[in-house]
This record gives sequence, C-alpha cells and structure tokens, in this order.
Amino acid sequence: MIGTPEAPLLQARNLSVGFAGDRGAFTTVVDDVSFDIAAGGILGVVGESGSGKSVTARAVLRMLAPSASVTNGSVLFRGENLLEVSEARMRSLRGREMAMVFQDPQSTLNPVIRIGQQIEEVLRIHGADRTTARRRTLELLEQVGIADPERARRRYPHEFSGGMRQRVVIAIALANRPSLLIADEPTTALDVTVQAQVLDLLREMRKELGIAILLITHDMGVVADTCDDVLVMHRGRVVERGPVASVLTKPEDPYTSRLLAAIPDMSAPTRGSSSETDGRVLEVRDLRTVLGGTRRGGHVAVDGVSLSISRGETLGLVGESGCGKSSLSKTLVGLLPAASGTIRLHGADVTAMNAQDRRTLSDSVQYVFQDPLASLNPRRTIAQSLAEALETSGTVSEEPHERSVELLQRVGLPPDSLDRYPYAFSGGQRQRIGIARALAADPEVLILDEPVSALDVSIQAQVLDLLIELQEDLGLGYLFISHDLSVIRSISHRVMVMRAGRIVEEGSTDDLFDDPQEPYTKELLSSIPRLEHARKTTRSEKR
Amino acid sequence: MLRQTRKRATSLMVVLAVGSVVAFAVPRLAPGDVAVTLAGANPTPENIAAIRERLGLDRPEVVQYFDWIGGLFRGDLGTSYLYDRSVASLLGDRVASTLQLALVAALIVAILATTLGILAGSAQRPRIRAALDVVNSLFIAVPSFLLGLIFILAFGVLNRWLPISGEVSLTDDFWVGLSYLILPALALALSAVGVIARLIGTDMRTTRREEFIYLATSKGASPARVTLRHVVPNSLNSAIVAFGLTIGDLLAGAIVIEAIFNRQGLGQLAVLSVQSRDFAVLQVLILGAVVIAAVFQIITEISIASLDPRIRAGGSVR
Amino acid sequence: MTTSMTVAKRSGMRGSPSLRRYLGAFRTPKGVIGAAIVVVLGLAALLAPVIFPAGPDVQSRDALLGISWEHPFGTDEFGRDLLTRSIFGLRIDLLIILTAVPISMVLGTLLGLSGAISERLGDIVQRGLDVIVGFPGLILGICIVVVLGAGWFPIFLTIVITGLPSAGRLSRAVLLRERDREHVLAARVLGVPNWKILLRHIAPFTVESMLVNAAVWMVIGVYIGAGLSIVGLGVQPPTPSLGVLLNGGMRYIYQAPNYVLFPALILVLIAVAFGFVADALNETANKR
Repeated sequence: MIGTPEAPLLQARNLSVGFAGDRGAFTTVVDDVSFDIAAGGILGVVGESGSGKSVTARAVLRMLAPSASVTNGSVLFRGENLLEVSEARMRSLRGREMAMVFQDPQSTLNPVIRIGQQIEEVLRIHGADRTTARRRTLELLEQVGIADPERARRRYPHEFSGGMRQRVVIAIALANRPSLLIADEPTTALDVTVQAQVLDLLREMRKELGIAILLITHDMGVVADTCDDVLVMHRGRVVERGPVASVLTKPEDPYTSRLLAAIPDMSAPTRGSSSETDGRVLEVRDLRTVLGGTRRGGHVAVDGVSLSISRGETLGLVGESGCGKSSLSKTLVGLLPAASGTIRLHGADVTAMNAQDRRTLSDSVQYVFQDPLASLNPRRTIAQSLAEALETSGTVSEEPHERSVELLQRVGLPPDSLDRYPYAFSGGQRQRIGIARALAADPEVLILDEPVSALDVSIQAQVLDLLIELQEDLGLGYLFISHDLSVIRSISHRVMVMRAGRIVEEGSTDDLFDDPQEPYTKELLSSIPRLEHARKTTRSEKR
Repeated sequence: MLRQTRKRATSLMVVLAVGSVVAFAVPRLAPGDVAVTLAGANPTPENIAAIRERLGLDRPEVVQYFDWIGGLFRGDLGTSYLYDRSVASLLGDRVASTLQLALVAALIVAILATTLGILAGSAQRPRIRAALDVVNSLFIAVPSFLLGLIFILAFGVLNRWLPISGEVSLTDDFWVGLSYLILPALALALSAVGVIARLIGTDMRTTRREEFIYLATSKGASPARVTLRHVVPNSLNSAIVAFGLTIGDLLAGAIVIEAIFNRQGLGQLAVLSVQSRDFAVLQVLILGAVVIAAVFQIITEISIASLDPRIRAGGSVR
Repeated sequence: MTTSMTVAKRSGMRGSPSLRRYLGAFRTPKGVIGAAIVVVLGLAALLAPVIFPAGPDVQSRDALLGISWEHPFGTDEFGRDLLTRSIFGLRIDLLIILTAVPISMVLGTLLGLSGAISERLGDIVQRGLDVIVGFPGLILGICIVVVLGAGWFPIFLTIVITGLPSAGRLSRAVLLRERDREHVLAARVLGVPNWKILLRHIAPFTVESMLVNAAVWMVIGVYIGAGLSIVGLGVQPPTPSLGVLLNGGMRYIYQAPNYVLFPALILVLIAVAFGFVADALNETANKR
C-alpha cells in the first residue's frame, strides 16, 4: 500500500450490510468486507451490478436506504468507529471531513435551487458566514474548471451539461477540504471525453490537496488509469485486493481474471475487413432527419449521412450521446420520417415508408433495441411476443410454436422460457430473446442500437459472441451502433464515427483504430481509459 | 414561457366562451315557460305575450345572447324575473356571506393541509404514518355536507356548543360571526385538507428517495434542514394544482353547506333560482362559477411556474 | 442499477404480473376493511326486497319515533320505518353509482385513446374534456337538473360526464407514455398493424389506472348523488335515497336527530369504504 507507515485514514473491518425485503426476508448484500485507505491514497472498488460496492460506500457515510442495516463490522476513521458514533457527530463529519460524489449528475443536484446556493450550503452548514461562503464558492467553481463563476453561480442545474453538473457536485464535495472523498461511479453516466476530464480533475485534487479517494466503478479501465490500489467485489464479497499494477497483470482470483478477460482488449486482433461480398442489402444516400417538427425550426439530428450494409459484414457506428446515431437507426426502419435523401433496399427505393415499403423493409431488415427490459411487453409471455413477430413476418410455414422453440434454441435459451414473462429473466437472457424476435422474420440485416450497453461486462462478451456466431452461420449484415469504442472494435469490420449528425470519419476497423485521421476520432480514442497502458505504468509515473 | 401564456390565454377564452353559451342555453332548455309561471293567476294569452315582451323573450335567442353579453361588459348583470330587482343587487346581498365562508375555508385548507402534509411526509415511525394516513383517508372520503351534518348533530343538537343556523357577518361582529362560520367552514375545508395533505405527503416520500436528498445529507445537513429546504420545495407541485381546483369545489360544496347551515349565500340563491326558473340569476351564477374556477386555474399555473425554474425556462419537469 | 433493485427480484415467479398485484391490494388492512364494508352493504342493498318484503313505504301513525327494537333507526314524519328506507335508499344510490361510474370510466378511457387515431382528434377531445373540468361537479349537476328536471337521471348523467375528463386524461397519459416505449416501437418495426398495437400493447396498461380511478370516482359519485338529493334536486320523494332522507331529516333535526344521523352514518360508511379500497389499489399501483 502506498502512504506512510502511520495508521490508515480509513479502516473497514468485517463490514456486513443487509436489506430487509418483503415478508421478513433478509438479504445480505455486503459480506465481511475489509479494506484500508491511506491518507492521500486512491482505492478503487470494482465489481459488476449487484456486487455490493455502492452499498459499501454508503455504509461508510452511514447513508444507507431505510430498509438497509449494518449487521456486523466496524469502520474506523482516524480511529473513530463511524458505525457507533452519534448521528450528530456523523453530521459534523459529513461534508467536512468526508464527502461524496454521486453517479447521475442529472438527479444529484436540487433542481429548484441555484448552484451557487447549493455550494454555499455545505459551507454554511459547517459554520462559514455568508461572505466567506460566497467567496469560497467562486474559488471552488474556478478550481473545478467552470468558466465565468460569477454568472455560473446564479444558474440552475438544468442549464448545465452533465459534465458541468458533475463538476459542481465535486466542488460541493471539496468545499470544506475533506480528507476523504467517496466517489460512487462518478463518470459512468458521462460521455467518454467528459469522463476523461472528470477523472483528470479528481487526480489533480489528490495531487494538490492530498485527498484520499474511495472510487467505486464497474470499469476496470478507470481503475487502471486512476487508482493506486484496487478491491474486487463479487456478490458482496471481496475476492481480491492489492496494488493496481499487480492485480491487473497477475490476477489471482478466477473472477478477477474473468472480469479482465471480458473487457475487449484494444490490442487484440480485430475481425479485419470483410470479404467484399457483393451482397449489398441496404444503401443510404444523403439522409437527413429533422426532429421536433418544422414549426420552430427543428433540430437536425441526421445531416446528410450515406452508408451501405452488406450481408455477412458488420458496420460499426460509434459516437457520443446526442450525435444522432439513434435517430439515424430509427429513420432506417421508419420510426422517424426522413426529411430528405434515399434509402434503398436491394435497389428498391423505400424512403417514403408507406405500407408497401414497410412490408418490404421488415422482411429483410430487423431491429434490436438497447434496453432488453423495455423492449419486451412485460404483460405478454415470451411465446406471445415471439408469435407476434412470426405472424407479422408472414413466414408461418410450420407451427409457430415449433418455430419459436427453434428461434430460442438458436440464441441459446431453453424451450420452457416460452411460458414465462420478461421479468423472470436476467438482462442478458432478455437481450437474447430480443435477438430471437428480430430473427423471426428471417432478415438479412439487423440494426442493433446499443445492444450490449445495458449489460454487465461479462454478459456483454457472451452476447457479442452470440452475435458473431449468428453472423457467420446465417450471413447476416449488422449495423452495430454503440458509444463504446472497445465493443465496436471487437465486432466491426468497418467503422464510421458520427458527430453532430455527420459522419466524421470512416474506414476499416484496423485503419481507423491504428491510424485515425480526424482530430475528433483521435480525441475519442485517447479518452478511453486504457487497460494495457496502465499495466505498463509504474507508480511514480502516476503520481 | 411566452408561448405557454398565449396558449393558456386562448384556452381561457374558449372556456369562458363555452361557459357563457352553456350558462345562457341551459336555463332556456328547461321545460315550461317562464312567462306562464310569472303570469300567475291570470294566464291569458295577452298577458303572457306582454310579459314576454317586457322581459325581451320574444326576440330571437341569438339576439338575447349578445344582448346579455353586451350587458355584462357594461356591468349590467340583468334583472331577476322573480324578484324584479337587478341581479347585481341580489348577488350583492349574498356575496359577502359566501365569500366569507369560502375565504375562511380556504385559509383552513392552506394551513391545515400543509401542516398535516409535512407531518405525514416526515413521520418515520410506521404507526404514526399509518394513523395520519387513516385520518387523511377519512377526510378525503367523507363528503363535506355529511361532515357538516355530523358537526351540526355533535355541536349543535346533541350538545349546544355552537350556533348551527343562520349567520352573522364578520364585519359586524368578528368573534360572533366566526362562531357561526367555524363549523360550516371546517366542514367545507376538511375534504380538501385530506386530498392536499395526502398529495404533499406522497410527493415528499417520493422526493426523499431522490439522489439530491442524499447529496444534502452528505453535506452534513440536519434532518430538519433536509426536509424544509430540499424535500418540501420539490413536493408542492401537485398540491398547488389541487389547491387551485379546490376553489372550484369549495364553491360547489358551499351550495349544500349553505343549505344545511341555513346561510343566505349565493348557493342558496342558486337553488332557489333553479326551482323558480329564474334564468337571469342562473345565467350569471353559472358563468360566475366558471370564471372563478378558470381564474384560479391560471393563478395556480403561474404559481407553479414561479416556483420551478425549469418551467420558467420553457421546459417541463424532468 | 441500484443493488436493492437487483436483490429484490429473481424468485422465478410465474403468472401474469398485474392480476396478482391487484389481488394483493386486498391484503392490506385498509383494503380488507374497505372491501368488507362494501360487500356487506352491497349485499344488504341487493337483498333489500328480500329482507324487507313490505317495502319502504309502509306508513303508520308512529311518526318521528326514536330508536326502538321495532324500529332500530326510528321512524320518519309519516311513520315509515327508517331502517327499511335507509337500506332501500342505499340500494338506489348504489345502483346509480355502480352503473354510472363504470360507463364513465370506459367512455373516458376510449376518448383518451382517441389520440391514437390522429393527433388532431386527440387534441380536440382533450380540449373538450378540459372544458368539462372547468365546471365544478355540483354546478354541472344543477345545470343538468335545470334542463331535465330533478330525478335520478340527472345524477347519473352528472356522474358520467364529470368522470370523463379524469379517465380521459389518464388514458391519454398512458397512450403518450407507452407509445414511445421500446416494446411498442419493436412491434411497429416488426410491422404489426396499428389497431393490434393499440389493443395488445397500449390498452392493457390503461386498466390499472382505470381501476384505481373508478374506486375514487365511486366516492365522488356518492358525493354528487347525495349532494343533489339533499338540496332537493336529485331523487324525488317518496322514492327513498339517502340524500332524500337527509333532506327530510333536516327539518326535524331537533325533534328526531336519529332521522338525520343514521342515513348520514351509512353514507359516511359507504364513502369511507370506497375510499379505503381506492387507497389500497392506489398503494399497490405505486409499489412498482
């Protein structure tokens, strides 16, 4: 562990937390967790959803949800057991000695109070008078990189972007110069470029102010880039701990190895470019889509995009939130009207999307949605959802039941899934059902809109493998849309980078990733927290 | 914001226009002929015709309508058929009574509902929450006039503690007037108290689960501060809307309350006018009710906008 | 994805998620009490002709009596037994409410869903419904009485009309919310025709809110029915309805307070019972 040989700042021992569920059931979500954080050190706690990492962090500040309770253990902060002190003492520590940064900047700030006041509040609570509070607020806003602090402090949260809001939350956390900052997935909800900036800010704060940071995340790359030590959690337990360099290069626990293996490795070989089959299915020329109607001048979401999708090939479309990739995919299947341009299916012009066009289109082109829970009607059984897909596709040669079973088996699910409802399945399984439904029409091309973004890393890998297998077996063409560069890299033959409705750069996967031409592409690529980059870094370099 | 105000203004115009047409048409759709009733003992055809001419009922309906509307803009509310006095003076007699009742009731609603609501939204112990919840349910379910009847029985008949019939104006003698007002106003108010308190309580409980409440706690804020500065301001939206709608209900409920507490207010006038087919009065009353309800709706929307900066900016909540 | 969410699920449950939830509503204390009272009073009202074969109009010379074994609620000014009249009154009131409210809810829901046919239609319908909201309930009732004369039908009509906006708004909210949900988009991409989408993917989601709203509207129905009758504009004597009894009882409130008290208590009971049921359903609906 880094830090001086004196006692660590925070010492957690045998911490256990559980939730009281309905009808008296008690579930343990954190089981016998122990860790140390030295003064000025950064400890990363990494795990998938359900691992208990967030609950652990909140337990330290004694900010658990009402139905949760600590069943065992101690948390020593400078020798004081936080789990035993009075609530009044906790209140004096919170916001002063210990502070927290939350995940979703959209919901973390009070929407009806100006941000200046929200920062001043934490200062006033701990004794500052109005003038001091105001002065310090302006100082803080500058420190976290918000321009024009005088005007900014009079604004409301909704007037800022996600990244800026997160900076405000950090400013609040740093206001009273705490010794410990707990950051719960601080960058998960942010775009990759913004994420890099926020992480830089945290590192800088540690350097300048000597703050210790407990960083919760599901992203190994973030850990690699930012932390000194790491704690790996799985189902409430600690499975591995140690300095980042050694855990990441020589993991001892099989779960850790699995986590690391599941991350698409940016140095692994790509799929190369496809054998140029002349199976061009979908051709799009100069497509424009305008959102929000033409009354007040709508927003041009897609601004002159051209692309083509062929059988057996994956075209990856990557871009940050708001770049228009979703609007593009929705226009291609007729969920949004095209303002201008053409969409051709096997040469036939279907841009108008009238009834005939849609029928032609839905025979050959199908869609897989991002959120597997939302894309299945929660009140219909799997059998009913698949039957609906089959009956509209018109390919009802055999019995729909048999065909449904066939489809499920294709995606690796047992036949008894048919009688169940969506809530009975896990996220990965639901996504497979979504894929099965898309295959019902026997399409040639699948448009997949962020199909794995809502899944845990280890499940992601399984679904991606399935997609590759299906492509090779059935000769499907994919338009694969994602904001995650590493996922795109592992599955695409060709890649297009989208920004503000336009295609900024395109090329084969190898070309684009190894030798990007455009500045935006370069910026995107450099923002990814790199795993193997960290493996080579020594400790001194990170300070 | 400007666009929304324009939309609201047109909406208001439509409601007023339709309201005026309905107010005009409804009494005239009633069966029976006013002129015949007024002719009374001597319903000869000449008499009836004369009465019609006097009241202007022989002209085409459309003309009568616009005449009436024109009169309204000039401040002339028409003349009652039954009493042969101007509608304005009839209203004037009784408006004070209903107004006092409605205002006291509204005040009770505002104070009681907010207190009860904040208590319900802050209570930690399940027993207290359950108790407050049942109290709310009772207030919501029991109609105001039934409460009134029960009050009458409890405080006026079985125990003679408070007056239950008639009234004294607050301007004449404040405390005596209040003793006449307290039971009817309370009866009128409690239903709305239940609804609004429940809305506040539920909204507060939802708001408490929001992330920014956790942020406030992480700043070291005391529970009182968290509740009053963070939870409550974000939980008042539905309550304010409900309060605006409540005014309309208070007016409607006043009709029955006035009947059972024997107060000479506008509600009583309405019932009398229905029974006697006095169009002139009815028209004005109906239109008046619509106008007041509409005006209060607008006031509530403005209050909500002034409290929530996101709406001011033209967006919507979340 | 918070941990508490992931922890709470996954018990391999079977069966349609919605129906079970609603039956669960009746396991709460409020739900049980409310449902029990409704059932008991409902049965009493239904079986009134059987329990009191003589009917509510038997006059006698024992006018305005107090409580006694022979007349548990006392008698009215014509010597008629108040217990009988109260139960028959309840019968009429319940009949009116139990027909008016469901009709109002279904009609209102259909109106709200009209937005699925075309945006303009939906907008126009909403404006129309907004106008109705502008008329407080009893005022509308009075207008209807003026046109149609007093009786039970104006009560029925008033309840139906005043219930439309809430049902319409709720179903419209469901329409707008569900229309953009991914499972509806998925169906559209598949090529499912619009009417089937409406039927299978949107309409089922209106049932929940309609049920809760219906329970709430029962309470309001009691209010409108009794309110109009008590001022003499609703059900007309000699037909008994609880409101009519209150109207009569007001005149003799000093001599025979029981005349007012018991019908009032029954009204309170039925209103509170419906209220509890509405609350129980509402709480279940919110416990997602």
